[in-house]
Amino acid sequence: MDFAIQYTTQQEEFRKEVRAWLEENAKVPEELGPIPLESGAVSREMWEWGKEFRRKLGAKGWLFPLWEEQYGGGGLTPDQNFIIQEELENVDVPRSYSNNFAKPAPYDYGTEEQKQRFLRPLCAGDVICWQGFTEPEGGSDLASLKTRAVRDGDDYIITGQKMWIGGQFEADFIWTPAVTDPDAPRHQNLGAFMIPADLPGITIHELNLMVKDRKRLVSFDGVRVPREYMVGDETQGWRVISASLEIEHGAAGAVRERDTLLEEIIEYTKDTLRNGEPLSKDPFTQQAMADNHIESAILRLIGLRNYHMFNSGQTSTYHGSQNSFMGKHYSVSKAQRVLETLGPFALTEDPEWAPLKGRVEVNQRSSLTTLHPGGTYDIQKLIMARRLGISRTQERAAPTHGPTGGQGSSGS
Amino acid sequence: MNFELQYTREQEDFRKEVRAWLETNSKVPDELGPLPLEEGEMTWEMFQWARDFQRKLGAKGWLFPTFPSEYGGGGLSADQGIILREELGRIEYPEAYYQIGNLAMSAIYVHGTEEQKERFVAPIARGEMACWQAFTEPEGGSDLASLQTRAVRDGDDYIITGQKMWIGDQFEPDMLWTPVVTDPDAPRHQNLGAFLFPADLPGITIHELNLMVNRRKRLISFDGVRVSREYLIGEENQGWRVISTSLELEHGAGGAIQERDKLLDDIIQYTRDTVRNGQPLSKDPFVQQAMADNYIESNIQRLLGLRNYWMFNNGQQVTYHGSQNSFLNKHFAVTKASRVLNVLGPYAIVDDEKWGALQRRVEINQRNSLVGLHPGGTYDVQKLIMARRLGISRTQERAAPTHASTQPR
Repeated sequence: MDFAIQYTTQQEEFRKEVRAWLEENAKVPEELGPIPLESGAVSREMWEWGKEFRRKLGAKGWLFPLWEEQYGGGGLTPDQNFIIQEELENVDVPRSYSNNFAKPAPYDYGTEEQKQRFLRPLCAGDVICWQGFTEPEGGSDLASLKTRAVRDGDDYIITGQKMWIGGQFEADFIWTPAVTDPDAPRHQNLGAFMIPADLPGITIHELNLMVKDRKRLVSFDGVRVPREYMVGDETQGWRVISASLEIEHGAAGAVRERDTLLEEIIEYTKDTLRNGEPLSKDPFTQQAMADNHIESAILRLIGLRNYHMFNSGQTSTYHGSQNSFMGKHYSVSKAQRVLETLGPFALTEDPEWAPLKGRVEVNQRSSLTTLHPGGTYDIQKLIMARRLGISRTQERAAPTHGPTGGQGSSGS
Repeated sequence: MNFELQYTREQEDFRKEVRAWLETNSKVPDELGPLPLEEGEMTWEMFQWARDFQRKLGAKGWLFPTFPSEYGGGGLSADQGIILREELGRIEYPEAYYQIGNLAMSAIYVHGTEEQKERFVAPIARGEMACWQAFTEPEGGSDLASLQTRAVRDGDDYIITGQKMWIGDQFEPDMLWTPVVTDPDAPRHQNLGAFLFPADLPGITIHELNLMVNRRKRLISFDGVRVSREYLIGEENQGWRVISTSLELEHGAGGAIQERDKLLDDIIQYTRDTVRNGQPLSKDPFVQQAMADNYIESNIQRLLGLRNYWMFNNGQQVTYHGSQNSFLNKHFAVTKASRVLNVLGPYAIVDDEKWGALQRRVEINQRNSLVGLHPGGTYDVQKLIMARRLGISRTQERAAPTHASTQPR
C-alpha cells in the first residue's frame, strides 16, 4: 500500500502554472529585509506587502480556491486546491492574517446581502477579520461568555471583553458572539456579530505572549452595532459560530506536504558533532527523531483524511477534534524530544550558536502557545466523546459550507 | 508518623538570633528598587548589594554554615544549618548567583594543598571570591569526560586553549573553575587537570548567549591563556576525580532545605481567587487534581532534599541519592509547569503586568522549567549515574568524596 499522492497530467500542468505565477509574484522585495521568524516582528511595510500579495492571490481565486466564484473564491476542485496549497508551502511570504474561520457562518446563515458584504471581501483578501470569541473569565468553556448585546431600536449596544485574539496590526472586522438574551438557556442566548473594528467604543490592548504573536485584549464599551452586522437570528449565535469552530478544530483538514522544520532538524543532527561524532549516530537521537517523524506523518495523514472527507461530502464526527487534539499533543511531545536531543542549543537565539538560525528556539516557545487556541486538548477530547456517543451530552458536527451543507464544492 | 522537624529550645534560641540579625542586615535599600524576577533584570547596584550581603553572611560563617570554620565556614551543626536556611527562606533578598561555581570550594578542600585551601577555600566560603564553573563545551554535550580544551605544559605554567559554553551568570566572576586535557594520550578520566584561575587573565574572552530565560549564559574562549601551575588543583592527571567532588554536590548529594514551594502556594491561592465561568478555578475537579499532583511532587522534592541533607551531614555513604534528587527536580519542574499551563491557560505564558498570573512569575517559571533540564547533566545522565551506583550498569562507580565525607567523626 502506498499513501503517496498521485497526480494526473492536468494537475501537473496546473502546478506549472501556479509555480510560474508564484515565481513572478511571491518575491518579497529585498528592501523589506528578511521575513522574521515570529509574526509579531513583521514590519508594517512587510505586512502591507503581504496583504497586497493576498489580494493578488484573491484576484486569481487562489486565496480560497474552493469557494464559489460569486463570493470571491476560485471555484476550483479539491485536487487543484491541493496543488495550490503545496506550491504555496514552498514560497517564503509573510503569513498569519487570521481570517479563515469567519467565512462559513455568513455563507450558511447570512443574507445574500451579507454574503456580498462580508464573504466576498474575505475571500478576495480585501479585509482582515479577527475571531473575538474567548473572554478573560471564560476559559475554554466558550458558551459561558458574558459580553452583552442590548437591543436599542435597530442597533445593538455591545459591552464586554475578548482576549487572546487577533494578530498583526489592525483588523477590519471582529467576529464576535455576544449574549443577546441573558434569560435564555445556554446555547440559545447568543447572537453572532461581524463588528467593524473601528467603531467608537472599541479599544485594543496588546498582550506579550511567550511568542511574538501580538495577541490582544479587545474591550467593547457600549459599542453601537447596527442590526445588519448580526449574522443569523438573534438567539442563533451558538449554531452560527459553531460553523467557525468546526473548521477551526480541523474538520476541513489540511494539506501539508512535509514537516520542513523536522527535516532540517534531522539534517542538523547529521551535521553536528558531539563527542567527535555526528549527533545522529547517537541511538537516543535516532529514537527521538524517528518518533518525531512518525508523529509528523500521522498529523499529515489525519489532515489529508479530513481534507478528503470534507471535500467529498462525507459526514465527519470526531475527526476535526482528533486533528486538533493530536496537533496540540504532538507539538509539545516533538518539541520536548528536540530539546532533549539538542540540549541548551535548542533554547538560544544566539545568531552563531542557535540551530537553524533560531527556528528551533522559536518552535520551543510556540509549541507551548499552541495548546490553547481553538480549545485546549481537554475540550477536543470532550467533543470527541460527545460525538462518539460516550458522553452524557451527545452532539453532531455543526453544518459547514462544505458539500455536506448541500451547496456543492467549496472549502476552507 | 510525622515528618515535620522538631526543634529544641537551644535551636529556637539560635533561630531568634538569626532572625534578629537578618532583620537588621537583609533590608534592601529602597533606592535600589524592587527585587529582580529574573537574573538578567538585576542591576549592577543591586548585584553589589547582594555580594555585600553575601560577604556579611560569610563573615558570620552563615554562608556555608556546616563547612569547617577553619576554612571560612560556620562549623555549625546540621540542625543549625536547617534553621539558617529556613530563616533565609522567609525573607526576600537578591542572590548573587554563584552557588554552583562555589562548589569548587569542596573540591579544593578535599584535593588541594594546604596553601591552596588558605588561598581559595576560605575566601569562597566567606563570600569574598566568586567562581564560575566552566565545565561544558560546545561540542561536548552531557558527556563531560569527552572535553577537548587543552592545557600544554610550558615550564611552570600551562597554556590553555579551548572553549566552554553555557557558563556563568549576570556579572563577571573572580575565578574560573575548569577541567582541561593535560595528557591527550592518557585514557579517558585520567587525562585531565582541574584548574581554578583568575577570570581576567590575558587570552580569555567572554561572549554572551541569549537563552529563553533572561539570564546571561556565556561562551568562554581560552586563546593560549598562560596559567601558573599553582592554580592546578590535585595532580596533573587527577582532574576527573577532583571535579567529581563538585559534580557530586551539584547533583544534589549535599541535599537541600526547602521549607515550602512558595510559587505553588501562590498558584493555588490564585486558583482560589480567579473566577472562570462564574466560579473559582479551584472548584474545577481538573484543577484540583493538577494542583494535588503538583503538591505531591513538590513534597517529594522537599523530602528528598532533606533526606540527602541529613545523610550528607551525618556522614552516611550516599550512592544514587544525589542524582535521584537532580533527576526528580528536573522531571518535576517540567511536569509541574505543564500542569500549571493546562490549568491557567494562556495567562501562564503572558508577561503582561496586569494579566500575567502572579505578576509574570508564572510566565518566568514556564520558561525556567525548560532551561532547568540541562545544567549539571540532563536527566539521562542522572539516570546513568544512578544505574552505575545501583550496580546495574556495565560500568560501576562510587560517589566522589566531598568535604563532608572526608571529615573526621
